[in-house]
Amino acid sequence: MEEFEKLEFEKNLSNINSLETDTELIGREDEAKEILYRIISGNMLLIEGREGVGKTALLKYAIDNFKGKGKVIYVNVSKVSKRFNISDLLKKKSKEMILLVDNAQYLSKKNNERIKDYYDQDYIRSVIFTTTDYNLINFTDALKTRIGRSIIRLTNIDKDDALEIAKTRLDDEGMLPNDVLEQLYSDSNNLKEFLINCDLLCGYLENKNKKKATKQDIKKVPNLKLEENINREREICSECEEELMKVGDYWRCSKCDQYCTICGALYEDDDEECPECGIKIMEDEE
Amino acid sequence: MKKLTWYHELGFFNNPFSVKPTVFHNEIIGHHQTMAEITKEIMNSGILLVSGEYGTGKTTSLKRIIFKFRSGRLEGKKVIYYNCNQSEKSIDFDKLLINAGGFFRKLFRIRKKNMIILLDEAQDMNKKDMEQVEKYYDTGFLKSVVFVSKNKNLKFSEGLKEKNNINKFELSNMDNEEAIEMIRKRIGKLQFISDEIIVKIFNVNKNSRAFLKNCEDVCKYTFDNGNRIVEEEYIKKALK
Repeated sequence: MEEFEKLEFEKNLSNINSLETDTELIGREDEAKEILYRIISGNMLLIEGREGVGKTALLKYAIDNFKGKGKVIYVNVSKVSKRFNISDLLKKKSKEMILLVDNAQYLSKKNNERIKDYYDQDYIRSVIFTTTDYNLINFTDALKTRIGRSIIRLTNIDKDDALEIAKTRLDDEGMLPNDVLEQLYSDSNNLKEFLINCDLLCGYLENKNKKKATKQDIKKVPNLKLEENINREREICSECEEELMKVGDYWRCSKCDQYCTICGALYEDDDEECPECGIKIMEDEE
Repeated sequence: MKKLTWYHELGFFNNPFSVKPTVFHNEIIGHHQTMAEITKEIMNSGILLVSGEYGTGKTTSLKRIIFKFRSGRLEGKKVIYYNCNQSEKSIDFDKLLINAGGFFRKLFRIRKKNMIILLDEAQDMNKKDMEQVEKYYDTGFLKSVVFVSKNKNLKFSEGLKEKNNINKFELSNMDNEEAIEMIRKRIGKLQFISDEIIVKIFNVNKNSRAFLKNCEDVCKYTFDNGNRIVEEEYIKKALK
């Protein structure tokens, strides 16, 4: 039995999957308003922010507001194959679709052009992109001029708002008192990790049959994603000094390494299948 | 829609400052002279190159041409619009010409003749595409070819160059009067934004697309701040 089921909750309290939670957005009222406006008025919008800051949660908010009419398309570009073609999603050619592109930094140039084209012809009513860094994006100038000034730069939300999010999800069980939450928040890197840490702490308390957490408990919980642990996990490519990405069980450089995008295993030029997971390797046409 | 926006308050159903070329497709402001010449040149079966920077209205002019030469359903199309960045490989002209025809042509796979072809983003065309265009132009399938590109010096194939009848048109930014006309066409005589303010916003950035976006942002800022008339101070605040 999962830890949250023991506590008689239907779902994991600190569910960090932004697309599954249905709690209200806390601490992001202005941004939420802006997103709705940009979608209604048919603009393009870019949301920039570090990992775990709440980009996907904002997209979820957009989905909630426009769902039910078959008009919203959500695509996470970091999870699609290299052959991914945005036109496949728009095949029915119904007009005025709302396109939400998560992790737009992985979008290929061809798909860039396609989006611009569909947008101009009004098959797409509006587009919301999210990215970790505006400079990483290989948007064409045509797309950049269409986005223009519509960029939201997300920063970490206030401590108070973060605590409120944790509390609304905990349903005021009194398990994690205020001072513990505060300590946990200042130790965590971002909102996402703060929620993961809350979850781990609850699990730890459950195992020890404790009803209430203290500050000392934080140090005893194994695997907490605290700031110091995170910093140690970052790795840099020895050749080009770019930050490495975690793919499967490996750390890989997107420029220098030739790896399977699913399990992260390296492969040779003449390999047709991935040596570890056996999936067929698709070469990028460009 | 749950939430009304500033333009809903004014009684518009759609965003009047939309930058999409299709929304106001039969109204093009500025370039009157150029448009007339382009139309004339197309009638004379010429090869044209229309160039201009981002957002000066290249695609919008094309939409205007399509609108002008449109025709009924049965006879098929007279104009083919093709965006060159759609395809990964070479352009399949046969397919385009067959699809342009009516029902019978499609059934018997007959290519239509005397077509006007509009090639958007022509800078993405490769050498083979250029040679194909030349071939189809010479054999009479294409009556007139319009290349649309963001740079003036498009690499034409040798054969096309030799014909020496490529007419070049360059689209430039609008002037103050045209800017006012463009906005008035979209919002009518509503006085929430005055002509002087329009000119002031226009002078921040003269690019048509940027100008429309700026207008929208200024209006939105004004209404968000509870005001109903755009004043000069809002321009700086909204466009910082």
